[in-house]
Amino acid sequence: MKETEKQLVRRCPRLGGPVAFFYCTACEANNRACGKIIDCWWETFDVLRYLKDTLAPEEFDRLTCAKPASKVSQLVDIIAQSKKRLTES
Amino acid sequence: MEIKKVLLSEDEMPRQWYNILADIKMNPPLGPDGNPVSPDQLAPVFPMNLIEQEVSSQRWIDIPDEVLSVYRIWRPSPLVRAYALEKALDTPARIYYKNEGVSPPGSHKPNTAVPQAYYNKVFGIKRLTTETGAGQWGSALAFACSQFGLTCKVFMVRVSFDQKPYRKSMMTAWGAECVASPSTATKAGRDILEKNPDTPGSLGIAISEAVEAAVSDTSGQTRYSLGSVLNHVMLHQTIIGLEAKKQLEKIGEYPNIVIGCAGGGSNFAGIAYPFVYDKLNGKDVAIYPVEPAACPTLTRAPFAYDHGDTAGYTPLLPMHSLGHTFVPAPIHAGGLRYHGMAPTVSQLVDEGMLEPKAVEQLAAFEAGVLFARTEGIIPAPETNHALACLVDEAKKAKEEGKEKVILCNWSGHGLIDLGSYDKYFSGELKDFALSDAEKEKYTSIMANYPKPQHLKSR
Repeated sequence: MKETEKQLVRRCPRLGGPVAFFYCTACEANNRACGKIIDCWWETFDVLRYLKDTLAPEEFDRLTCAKPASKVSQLVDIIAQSKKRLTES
Repeated sequence: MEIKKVLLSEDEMPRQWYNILADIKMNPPLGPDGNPVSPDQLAPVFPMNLIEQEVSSQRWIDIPDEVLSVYRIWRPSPLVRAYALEKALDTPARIYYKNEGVSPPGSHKPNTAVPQAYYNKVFGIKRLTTETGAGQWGSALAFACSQFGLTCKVFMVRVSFDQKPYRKSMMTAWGAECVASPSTATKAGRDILEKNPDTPGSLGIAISEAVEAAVSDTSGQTRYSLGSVLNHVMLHQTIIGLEAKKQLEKIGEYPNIVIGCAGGGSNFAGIAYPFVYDKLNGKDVAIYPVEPAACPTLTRAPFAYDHGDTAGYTPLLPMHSLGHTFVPAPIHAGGLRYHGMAPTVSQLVDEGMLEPKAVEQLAAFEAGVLFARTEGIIPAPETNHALACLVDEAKKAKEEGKEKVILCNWSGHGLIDLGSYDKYFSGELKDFALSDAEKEKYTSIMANYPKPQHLKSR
């Protein structure tokens, strides 16, 4: 990633504080981009094109087309993962 | 003398929350296996009394006396007539805002943190865990737990932990333990730190840690708490709108327009749902959830980039950019791609009961500063989005010559988020009027990427 891109910083609406664009590209599980990355950065530069060029097609589709799982569904999944982690440790 | 604040006595505080689930049809949430989630699946993290509220279709739910007793610390919150703002805008509109910034943590968040702490205590829970970004939710839960004698552990995303020392201080003052996430307190945290010891953390990691901390307590006395999105959170927040209705009734007013900013949806639901109830029963009232401007390409908003060969996005409106070719109107129709929004809010948008608006950050801060310089109190950055829409509607009322009544939820103060204002004042939040040096910086970033073409009106 270009140095200038790394310097792009804005207030994150989820965290409530400044973050760099680089953070937004990899802050979710498995180093995936935040689901709001396009909403947050489209006013600054053509982030949509950037992501289309840099992400795998399925990952780009996840960001642009896929409806996120409901919070309840996400919680059930996190609970299951926690229990599995505790069992394995 | 004109009345500035419309107050309710403590006896006049509403005694019931309003449950929107009684009046709208929702599909049940599905688990990862595609089947509807059962209460048992949530029992490891929530007490059964809150799970019951989460799925209840009972329209009015009694607020326990113990919750009212704590609410009395700052509630009923004042409904304030914004005379100075009206004068500055030279508008015939009558503007009222519900000041939720008077709570101990400074926002609407304790409206649900307090009942959640209570219901957990009644269920026999001794400890609550949660995650927080900048600390607004974490401090609200810390406050609520201190009121009911519960211990509280907050996993704060590391990047925010380092940036927001005063939120940590608040949590500590209220007796909570606040740790930077990822931490060594959980296996989830240790696994992440082993792979990347310098990680700035994320909300996803922090949630995993908070849930694991609850699930791993073999005594069964720890649960997890969430500050937005879920139905029981929306339910608790309706105290805001229910009070506002009573206050407006006291002075013979009813709003033409109700406005609230919408991130996860809780403060918006709080002010709006009691008026949605009226609208469902035939009342003529416009209700606007206001979000930060979402990328219009991916919404049904009437304008977009033209990416040519990428995905057939439709060019619809003329725009000019950052010194390039596009800029949308500062306030425009909101999108329907509600990432992370409360399902009931999304459902009401889909049914046409709500009209989403989107506001860009510059317009939001402009409105916030205008508000601070007229009404005197400094809003939280999130609140500024609602205020930008409020200003826009007040200006429309002036153009139309109509004495509209506009109600806005003032969801919180910005006194612990002044860094954002610093960036605005220093010009770092400029969207489209850049200095030559800034233009060169952004141009170099965009050099390899196509600029949006000149777009045509629909």
